[in-house]
Amino acid sequence: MNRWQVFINGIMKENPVLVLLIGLCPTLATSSSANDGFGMGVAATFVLIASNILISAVRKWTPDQIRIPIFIIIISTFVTIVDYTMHAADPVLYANLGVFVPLIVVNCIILGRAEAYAYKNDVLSSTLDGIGMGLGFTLTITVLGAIREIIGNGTVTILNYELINLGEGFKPALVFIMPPGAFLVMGLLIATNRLLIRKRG
Amino acid sequence: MLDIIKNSLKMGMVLLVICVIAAAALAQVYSVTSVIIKKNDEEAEKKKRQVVLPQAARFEEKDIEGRKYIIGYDAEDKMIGGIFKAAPKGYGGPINITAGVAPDNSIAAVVITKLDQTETPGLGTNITKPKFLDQFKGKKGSELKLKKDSGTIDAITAATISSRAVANGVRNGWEQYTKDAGEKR
Repeated sequence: MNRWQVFINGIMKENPVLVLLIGLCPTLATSSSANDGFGMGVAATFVLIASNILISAVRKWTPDQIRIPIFIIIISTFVTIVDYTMHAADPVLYANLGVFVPLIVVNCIILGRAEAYAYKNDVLSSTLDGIGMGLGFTLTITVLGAIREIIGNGTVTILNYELINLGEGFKPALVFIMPPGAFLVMGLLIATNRLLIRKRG
Repeated sequence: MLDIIKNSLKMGMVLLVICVIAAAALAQVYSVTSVIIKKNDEEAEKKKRQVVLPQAARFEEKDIEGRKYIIGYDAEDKMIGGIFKAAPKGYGGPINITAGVAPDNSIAAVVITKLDQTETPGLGTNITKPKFLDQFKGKKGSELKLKKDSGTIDAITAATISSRAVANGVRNGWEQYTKDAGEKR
């Protein structure tokens, strides 16, 4: 498998959410608006890339039997570092993304990629895998958030810019920003992705 | 048998080394960032005071009846209101409320920033929006309740627990404040 494929796989053919069906917990919980989805996606991508690099770099010294605890220590250390650094460096960004950072620890895409990819591959491939998977995750969760937000609230906002506002006349279907809406839209997205993959052959 | 012991020892060592590195890295990052975070928090705190009592030129922290309040004064040193803090339990942890009280004992403004709460993203976090918080302005007493609890505050759809926590927090804080500081003017 060449490097480009590794990178592009995470977006469609092996999209972590829509195909591998991992990381569903944060996907369903934080996709009630495009803005929140995007924030979660970016924060998780950052940790994913960094933990992939680190785990791939130490994979030769990691005894097989205790790899999971080691992954978890690396991931949670990194999440905490990101949390502190972001809080100190940019309070405005932290105000928007801060709530998502602790949630990344339980995002199993990161542990999943560590175990399934970074542990078995070199640093460069693992970095690309991290970027690709992160992009796929961010894209999916943002689209999911946008669809839920527009039906459930009549707006689409990203980074606090309102892109679409259907105005007062629009009667939102509130169920879409509540948990059942997440499952409904998620199912439709999975089906759409499958259809696209099949069409491409 | 010897192999098992050797293996276990080796695994323990590896785990120990990684834990030590992780702990050292965390301690290092924490010691650097905590100073900056504290400074940022202090600045944010000042900004919040300015937002809830915009006319005030100067603030003074005071202990009244053993509780801490911040009293605002204008340029002529006339007292123009007080600020109280409350931290009611929301849906996902405490919600830190900063509220200003005008001289007529009505609420001047309520501020909750995104960093003051850990409510559910997209639902409970709407308590930080002006659309919700502006409802408190100019109200007092039992008006500071959700409409569902026979008050005047509209709860956020699908976030009743967070909304109720804020309304009750503001009301309790307001009651305590007026009892402690309200009559002494």
